[in-house]
Amino acid sequence: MDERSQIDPELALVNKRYELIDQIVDRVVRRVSSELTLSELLDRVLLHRFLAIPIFLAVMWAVFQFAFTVSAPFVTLIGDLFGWLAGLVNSHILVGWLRSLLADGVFGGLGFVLSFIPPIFLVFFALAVLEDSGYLARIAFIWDRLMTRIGLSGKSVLPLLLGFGCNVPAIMATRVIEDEQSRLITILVNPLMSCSARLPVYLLIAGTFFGEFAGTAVFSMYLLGVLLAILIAFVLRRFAVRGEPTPLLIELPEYSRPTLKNTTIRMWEEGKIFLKKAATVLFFGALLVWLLSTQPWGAEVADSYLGRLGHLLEPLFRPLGFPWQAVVALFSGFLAKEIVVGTFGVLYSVSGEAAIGGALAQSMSPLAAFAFMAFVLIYVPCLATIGMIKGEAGWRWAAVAVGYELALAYLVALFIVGAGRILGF
Amino acid sequence: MKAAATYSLGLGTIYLGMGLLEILGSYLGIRPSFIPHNILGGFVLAVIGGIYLSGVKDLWQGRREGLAGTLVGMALALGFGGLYLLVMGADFLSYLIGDLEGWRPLADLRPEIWLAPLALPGLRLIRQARLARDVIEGRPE
Repeated sequence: MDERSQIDPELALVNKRYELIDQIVDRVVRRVSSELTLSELLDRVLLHRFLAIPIFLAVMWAVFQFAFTVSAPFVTLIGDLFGWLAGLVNSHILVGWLRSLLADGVFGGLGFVLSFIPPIFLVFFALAVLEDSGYLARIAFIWDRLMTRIGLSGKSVLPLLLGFGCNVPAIMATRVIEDEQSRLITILVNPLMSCSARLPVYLLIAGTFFGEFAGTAVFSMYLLGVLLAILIAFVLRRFAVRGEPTPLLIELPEYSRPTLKNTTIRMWEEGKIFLKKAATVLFFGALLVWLLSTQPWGAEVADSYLGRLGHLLEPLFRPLGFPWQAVVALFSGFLAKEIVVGTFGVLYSVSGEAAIGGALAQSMSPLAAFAFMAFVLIYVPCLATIGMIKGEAGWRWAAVAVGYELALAYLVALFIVGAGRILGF
Repeated sequence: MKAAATYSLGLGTIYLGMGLLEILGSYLGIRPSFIPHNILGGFVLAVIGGIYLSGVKDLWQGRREGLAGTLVGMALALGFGGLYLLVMGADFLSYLIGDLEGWRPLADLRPEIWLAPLALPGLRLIRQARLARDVIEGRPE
């Protein structure tokens, strides 16, 4: 059958099955009304050839606002709570190392890891609403043709867009993708979607070096991330995660009204997986970074093991034009990208964005600064994201993600510097 | 059906107009006080307007298919109205905990919020659409 029709055997089977169903329905069912059902009526707009994608983008905007704007005060409250606990420790414990361990290591680490809880739970609430309403299946349908061309699934578009907010809930959101290979590729390319934590770094560098073109420089990072994600997805499908994407064979469910009970239960079931990880791998990872940045005891960050590592690896980054402070900042950004700007402040002994920008302008060329922005976009995602990749795909693929992103970041930064020099920048 | 067509035309024009004003205002610096300047917010308003308008022709010609635009437009109008109320609540909480100094409630009063009540009459259309669902009768051979 498939040789004659030149179509996928699975699709051919499904087509035959529906032909048979239609024949039986015609014989045993009489329609007394030819009017459309409510679902058919809604699909006329939601799957409309011109309106479907704008509606999808509007819905995604709503998910973003819900997950990241509505959760913002709760993130602050969690940070404040652990800040207050750290303050208590600082004022009551006199032993220096114990004070630093509890205040910076334990409460600092917990505050960082647990601050992901509000957006993660709200993302899962929104996903449950989309799935229970029947719209999630339509999203897969709308995007499937385009996404399968680059080796992904129609449902991949959802976690990829969520990655612009935060890669951690975005990687967890890949659970909506049934095809394991497409899911794995979506997980691996997700960190290339520029999360909001990278924005302060872009704003600092772009504001310092690119003046009236700062907006264009920042936008170019988002565009670069999307283009690299497409390229890497294509390469992974071709060489590492072989096999054709499974054709989309879904019956579009009837639209229905989600219930608060169901969506809350599903939010909790998915969200508690993050809580378990937060209590183990993420928390101990944060402690390890604290240890590296405070030892040997009493040393400044520049002389800590983390700082020494920065000095040690500086020659490797010399072709890119990065000073040693930038290398150390990249290391601290391994914990969370938000820390990069603060690390610059500590290393240059200045405070305030303007002062940090001024210090950076003395030690980096605009070309190196642009390459640094690209490096921050591409190199290892934050610790929480790596922990999530490990949890969803295993250590092996987490190592693959870290490895390819480090290599890609270096190559892209080198290309920017090389091409820029040739063009006379 | 003509009443529904007129209603959809009116609401579609208002949403589309507001959306375009917000988008263009962001570029050209035309910023009436009642319209914020957020390109993506303007895009959403324009999409809702476009959805309402998509069904007007069918409704005017008496075809029930046109109700689709009114129903989806209403769902998005009410959904975004509710969402921006939540955002306003979240910003108020941020203000209370000192994370959003100088916040004013009016700054968060987006058109989606004050236009949402206009979408409520569309709820009657859902009832009509439900009542008119296919009735399927088994006929054993």
